[in-house]
Amino acid sequence: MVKVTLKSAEGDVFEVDEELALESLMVKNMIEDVGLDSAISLPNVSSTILAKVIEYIKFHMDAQKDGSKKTSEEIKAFDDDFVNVGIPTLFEMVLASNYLNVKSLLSLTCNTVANMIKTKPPAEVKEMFTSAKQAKA
Amino acid sequence: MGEVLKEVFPLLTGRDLAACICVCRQWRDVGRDDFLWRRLCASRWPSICLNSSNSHQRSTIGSSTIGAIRGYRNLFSTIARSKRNRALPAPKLCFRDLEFYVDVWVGRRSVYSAIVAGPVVQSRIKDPPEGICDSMRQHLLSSEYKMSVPVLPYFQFSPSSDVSDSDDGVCSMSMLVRRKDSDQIATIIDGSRFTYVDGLEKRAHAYDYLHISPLYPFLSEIRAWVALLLVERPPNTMAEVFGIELDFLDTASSDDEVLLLLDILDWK
Repeated sequence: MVKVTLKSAEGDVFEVDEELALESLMVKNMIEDVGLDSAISLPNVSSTILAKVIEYIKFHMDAQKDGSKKTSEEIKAFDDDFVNVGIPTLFEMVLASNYLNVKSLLSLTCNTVANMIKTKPPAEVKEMFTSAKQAKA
Repeated sequence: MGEVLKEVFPLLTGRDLAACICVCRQWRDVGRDDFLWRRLCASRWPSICLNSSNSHQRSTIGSSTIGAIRGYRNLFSTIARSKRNRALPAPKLCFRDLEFYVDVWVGRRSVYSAIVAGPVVQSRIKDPPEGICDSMRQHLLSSEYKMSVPVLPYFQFSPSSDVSDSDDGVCSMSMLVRRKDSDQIATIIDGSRFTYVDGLEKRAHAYDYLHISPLYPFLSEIRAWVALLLVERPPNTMAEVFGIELDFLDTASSDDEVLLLLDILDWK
């Protein structure tokens, strides 16, 4: 199996199957443009977040494969657990999935943020997001 | 942060987006993007986003969409909000400019006539007489919106007006209102009979339909209610009326609402 080398913002190197890498339309375009000879540099994505994105894509690829025994409940549980992170991480994942152009992850993370906002009064939303910002700082 | 909001805001409802605009300056700047509101408008009223220059009645002016002219955010919030919490316009009348003419009759005999100033009618009866029953006391203290006319001296009222067919002995009332600013006059109650007496609460009730200005031809069935407040005197004497209450509880239950309602009467 052909491998693709991805390089995070910190310079950490992640070696993944080409099939997995192509799930990111941004990486797919890069491969088409520059080929597989050199590592693909992703200066906007930190190692932590890149690892998470790879974990997400891998799980869903496995789940879609023929012979996968994963039920839709299990997939849902994985997704729920996956986005059950602090707001700063969640925001980074929104940005990363937008940059890497992974539609399903972008939709999952954005809907998670939207659900946190929905039906809450402004003061509560403000409280929730400023405390997240302070925690990050 | 701004980039995240641009991804998330399109997923929100208008109500949630409006709340987000109040969160902080950055959220406001992102949330005010008219593109977001155009999407919301297009999902609720797709027709208002159509370009009317495509229609048959092509005209040089008015070919832009209403949203492009007024802004989709303005449009969305105006239409979506109009149903709830609609604030009342400020009334043009005020109680100080009003004067009420009150006449009470038993049969053809006038038993009480008075001119009562607007501010007196606006306030409630402050010093009820001794000897009113508990439910009357509670009623006077209740927070229900009432206007009232204190009656002095008290006049006698016989609840058992058994003659239903003839006018003799039947208690009736008229109430006119005058605007001192324009010296116009309107009718609130026009000779209504006190046909129903609440023996427990010691009140006699009458109502009449308001005469609304012909400018509002679709308004009818708005009623003015009046009640005689009774106090029982020692045995074998008639009850006495110590006050008259007025309300439009079907329609108006605050000072402003009452003034707006009075404003649309058929003033002459």
